[in-house]
Amino acid sequence: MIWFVLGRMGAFLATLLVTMLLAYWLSSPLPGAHSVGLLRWFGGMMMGDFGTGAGGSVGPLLAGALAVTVPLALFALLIALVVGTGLGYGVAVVPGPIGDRLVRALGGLGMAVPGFWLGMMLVVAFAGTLHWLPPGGFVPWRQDVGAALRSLVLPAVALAVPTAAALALDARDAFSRVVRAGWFEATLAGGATRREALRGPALRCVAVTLLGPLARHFATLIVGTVVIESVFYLPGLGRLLLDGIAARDAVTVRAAIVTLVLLTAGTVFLIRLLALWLDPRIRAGAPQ
Amino acid sequence: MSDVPLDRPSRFSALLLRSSVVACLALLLLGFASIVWTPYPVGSLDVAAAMQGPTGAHWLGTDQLGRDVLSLVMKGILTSFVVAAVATAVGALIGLPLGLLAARRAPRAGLIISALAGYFAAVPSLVIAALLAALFGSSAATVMIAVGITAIPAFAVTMRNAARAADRLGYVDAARLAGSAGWDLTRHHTLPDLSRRLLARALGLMAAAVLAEAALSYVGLGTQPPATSLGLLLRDAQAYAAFEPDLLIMPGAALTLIVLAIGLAGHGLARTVEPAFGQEAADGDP
Repeated sequence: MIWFVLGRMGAFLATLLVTMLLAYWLSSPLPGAHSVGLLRWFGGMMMGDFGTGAGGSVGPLLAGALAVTVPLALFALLIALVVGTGLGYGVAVVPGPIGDRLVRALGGLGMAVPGFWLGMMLVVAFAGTLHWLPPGGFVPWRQDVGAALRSLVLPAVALAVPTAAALALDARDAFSRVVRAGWFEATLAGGATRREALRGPALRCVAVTLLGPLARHFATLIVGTVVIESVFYLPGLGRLLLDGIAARDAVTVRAAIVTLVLLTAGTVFLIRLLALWLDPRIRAGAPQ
Repeated sequence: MSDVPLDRPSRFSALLLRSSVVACLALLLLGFASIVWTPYPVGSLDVAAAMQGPTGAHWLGTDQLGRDVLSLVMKGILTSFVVAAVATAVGALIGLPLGLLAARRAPRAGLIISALAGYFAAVPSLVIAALLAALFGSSAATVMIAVGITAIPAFAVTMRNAARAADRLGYVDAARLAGSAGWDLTRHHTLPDLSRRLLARALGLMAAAVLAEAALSYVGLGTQPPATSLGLLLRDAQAYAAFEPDLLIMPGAALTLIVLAIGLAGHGLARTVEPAFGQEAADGDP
């Protein structure tokens, strides 16, 4: 078990380290990149000092950007998780080809629609025609929490749809494997209703299978905020990164990339760690 | 996984496969036709005719500069196909030999595959594209390399697992007994059997590459004007969306159609060989 945790942590740190080296090395030919050495840059970031870019000190800029990006990503993750696994569970609870085909069709379509285009169409519908929600921009949290939340609704939906679709397909696969397993039939034969049988071990079994896809989809979603923030003119991490690239500002680009990968790799790490809680084989120290 | 009963491929899925292949070919034709002919030259501006709806002269209307939308979308479809195909080829050229190596000669190569799969699970192609764009400037090549590199582990894992499974089959043993070995065995006995599976995987990755190209071009990390891409068209259209939302529809619909057609073709092809698709290569498990 300790080896499992150490292995996951090692993978997390290795991902972060490789990205830092890549970011440092690839941005070193840019102007302003040589103002700081590799080790001092590492050390500075550990202490929260990200250097000074074209737009001033990067640390406060990053903090401001994260105040937009992290709530947006969490909002979208929540929608994707509930809708995606909910659809998969629905197919398992109500057996029959109709629901299954519907979920597969919806999943395929949802994965094919580009999220940023969906965002634009949502703006046209819900902001342009119906005037229910703002078309873009961000009201700072300190000014008005309600308005800030409202400006994140459409971006979160646009961000969540492709992930929810992919997750629904994965959940449908995982549930259908469980439902066809011998031990599940035995539980039903023992007198449990389908709904009862799906709770407990079945749900746990599905959750273990879903951890891998979940980690991958969530990493993609977090990086997808870069694109969606452009659609909705949100002053988040993506804006900072793209502005930095346009200005060829090595300090900002490095800081934004490392922060982005810290978020994705951290999420992947935490999700994989959930296996510890879900999978008793790992707790017992079984070889994987 | 052999204990899972397989869905029988239905007549419906056969029809779906056939129609998605036809749609792919039609879109390819539309894209490649734009090399020699478009209804209007893409560079020609006609501000007097800007922002028209569909008319007899311009079937899909004109954009804010008076360019013909149909011509632009045709060029955009071409860009989508070419960039996605090159990106997928980059991934396949490195990933497939790596997977074969891991299955046959050097199991240690499996460690490289696991490391790559683990890394790119947490670092999607946009991050790589951003780094490359910061250094070399944005171009279609940025997208090809970034998306291609991130596709390497997917190809490698598919190849390795498929080759290992194939080696357990009776006819491969028979071929071995008959004296076939090494590359000869792979080329004549293993690869023909795997080609459909690998093609299905490649189509799936290509559909994702089309989406990635559009998104990267949209945020300015991909194709640059004067070249045309569906992502760039959407960026232009968004600026005028408040006055002319119709401009958003065609590029986005074309994009969705391409991804659906390629994705469904890949999915349908995969179902002809292994109906429960997407499990073996799902997580790059070592």
